[in-house]
Amino acid sequence: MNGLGIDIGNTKVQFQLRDKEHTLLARLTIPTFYFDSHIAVIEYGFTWAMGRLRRDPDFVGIGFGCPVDTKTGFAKLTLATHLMGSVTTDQVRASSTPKRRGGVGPCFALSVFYARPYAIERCALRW
Amino acid sequence: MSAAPYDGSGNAVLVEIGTGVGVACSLPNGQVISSEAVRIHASNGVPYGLNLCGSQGFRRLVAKLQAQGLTLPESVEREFLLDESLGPLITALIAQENSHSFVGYAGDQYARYLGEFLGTLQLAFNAAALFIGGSVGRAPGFLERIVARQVFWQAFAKKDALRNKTDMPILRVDNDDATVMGAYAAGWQAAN
Repeated sequence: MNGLGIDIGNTKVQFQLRDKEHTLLARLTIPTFYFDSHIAVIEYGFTWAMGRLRRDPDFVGIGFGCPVDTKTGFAKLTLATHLMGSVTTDQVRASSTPKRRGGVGPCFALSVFYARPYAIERCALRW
Repeated sequence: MSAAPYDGSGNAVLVEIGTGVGVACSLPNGQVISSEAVRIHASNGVPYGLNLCGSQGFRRLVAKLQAQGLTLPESVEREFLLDESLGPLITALIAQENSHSFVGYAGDQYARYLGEFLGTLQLAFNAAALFIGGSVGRAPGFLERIVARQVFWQAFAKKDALRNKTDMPILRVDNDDATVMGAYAAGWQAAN
């Protein structure tokens, strides 16, 4: 199972592609101003991942700095001020599920936080 | 400086301070609550996010101190006009404990802003740990200098936070990949 991680920041967007062992396969960093919309970011990442894998990624995780309304799936990406629009989970799903292969891939819009065990393990106490 | 250890229990709050500022809280069961706490107004009447962020926070800080009559170091004055890398310059000066009086005042003021914000977040989320990331938060030596200041902890206590210097773990996230790895991990968890 290969997966794509996308982090949409105010300055840069980071993409990482990892294999079933979570080993890094490829990475890409692009300035946020390069993109016109949130969907453009996601589609770009998905296309890039497809090019590297020669097939769709099995899942996509998206990180950004804003809340998602759990009822409506609506998110306004307030942190990336260059992208002043909003995005819904349905839009994200429609733009990046592996529909070309007829499969249904999970894709969720999530706010920024790290996998907790990772954070606890890696963040050294500095004072 | 606070040397409070963190055992991994309780709610953990992440504050990403970069070009912008973002906040999220992780519950012990792994659920993540996102937040727009950066929009809450600080005691100076400005949203916390604008006091702290790399894109506007340092410009506002310099303007405030300049208006109070402080003389700027030449390097800061130049960057203030050019608006290119004011944030990295000031964080570096504070981290190096530069002896110019402006640097001391700037460090104290930023410590007040950050302390008040983190204290508010501790209270709001009953945080057992505070993780600080982002390009400003990661600037080498910067956070240590800020958190070591007495004014930071005074501001932290301003809103009656439930913890203090002795029992409030503050942890710095040094890995620049952490956010994208978190996004990947969230996608993986959702798929499994």
